Amino acid sequence: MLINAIGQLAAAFLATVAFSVLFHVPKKQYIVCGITGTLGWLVYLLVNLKFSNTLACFAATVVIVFCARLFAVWRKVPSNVFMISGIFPIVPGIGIYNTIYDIMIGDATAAMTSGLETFKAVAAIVLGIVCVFVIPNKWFRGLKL
Amino acid sequence: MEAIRNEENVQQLRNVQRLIIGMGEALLCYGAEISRVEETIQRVADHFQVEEVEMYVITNGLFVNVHQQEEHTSTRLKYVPSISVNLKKLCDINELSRRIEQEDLPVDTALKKLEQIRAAKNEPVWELVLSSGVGAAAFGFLFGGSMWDCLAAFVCGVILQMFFSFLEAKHANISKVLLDIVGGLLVTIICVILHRIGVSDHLDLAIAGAIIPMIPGVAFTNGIRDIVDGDYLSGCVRLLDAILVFCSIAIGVGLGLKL
Repeated sequence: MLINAIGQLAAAFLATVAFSVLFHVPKKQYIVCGITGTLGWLVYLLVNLKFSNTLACFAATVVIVFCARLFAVWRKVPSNVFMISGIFPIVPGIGIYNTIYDIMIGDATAAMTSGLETFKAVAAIVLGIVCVFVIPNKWFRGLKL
Repeated sequence: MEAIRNEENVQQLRNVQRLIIGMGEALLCYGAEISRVEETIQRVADHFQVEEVEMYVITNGLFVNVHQQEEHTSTRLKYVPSISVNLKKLCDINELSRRIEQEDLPVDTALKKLEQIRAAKNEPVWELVLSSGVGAAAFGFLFGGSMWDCLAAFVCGVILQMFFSFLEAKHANISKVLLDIVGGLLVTIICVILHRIGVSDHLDLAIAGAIIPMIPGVAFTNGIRDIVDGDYLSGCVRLLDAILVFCSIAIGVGLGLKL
């Protein structure tokens, strides 16, 4: 269990860093990007233990975007740098795939179920981003980091 | 004497406008959200004491109007047809705008710096290819795949990025929709082949991992941010872009599965 969790977190770190390379993030920010993604995935795993997938997505997104904005002030770069790659682990890739697959084999009921599940996850991510971005920029800039 | 001063002022104003429109264009192109573009233009213009600056920024273009001493008004329009995300250059321009304010850089130096940033070389292709593979493999693992699934996803990610880099180097002008459909198709076919010959255990996990590098993360997150900031038009355009890419990938994968 514990080893599995550590493996998962390591994979999340690796995935986030890989995506930050893909988006041409400056080299000195790779580690911070990785930390953002790993924190998000950790929250996702913890919340998912007790609650639904949707709620886990929401909580993880809130943490990722909040961290991204915090780190943006600390490292003096736009928050996009950390947010875009950090949010990738939460993207419901498997849900998207399942939906396509169910549509392709013509199983409408299963397609509806997996489609709805995916849609809920995406909506949770949207809501999470919105929730953090309504916090005024001044509050973050005021922090002495 | 007065005439010469005026002439200089006009020249200075033109250069400032060139600078702010260049910075705005670059920011848009490298994946900044609308409010950042507007804020940067405003700050730089204020720093160079432009009396009035008026702008309208949308996802694929910007209008900047500067106005000084009653008679000098000039409006420029810049069309930004394609977005190629590059967060390093985005950071550099952000840094440049901060330096203009804090270190009081003259316009000419700032223009030169801007040119340097835009001309700077990207990472070598192999780095991108490798990271695409590693990213896909890591996602295969996150979704619960075995080591073999990760390997399949890795191969797909590598081939996918090689394909995209190749097209980019050729400057092939293919519509994005078609490109994503082909990408999805390519990934699925490779994954199915690898599955058939017994490399991966779970076809679904390998494909799900491998399509992740194509997911339009920037368009999606920026679209939401634009809407939160009240730039509804740009936000809608970006979200539409994201949805279109999602659908294209789905069509590609669906086609591949049908074959």
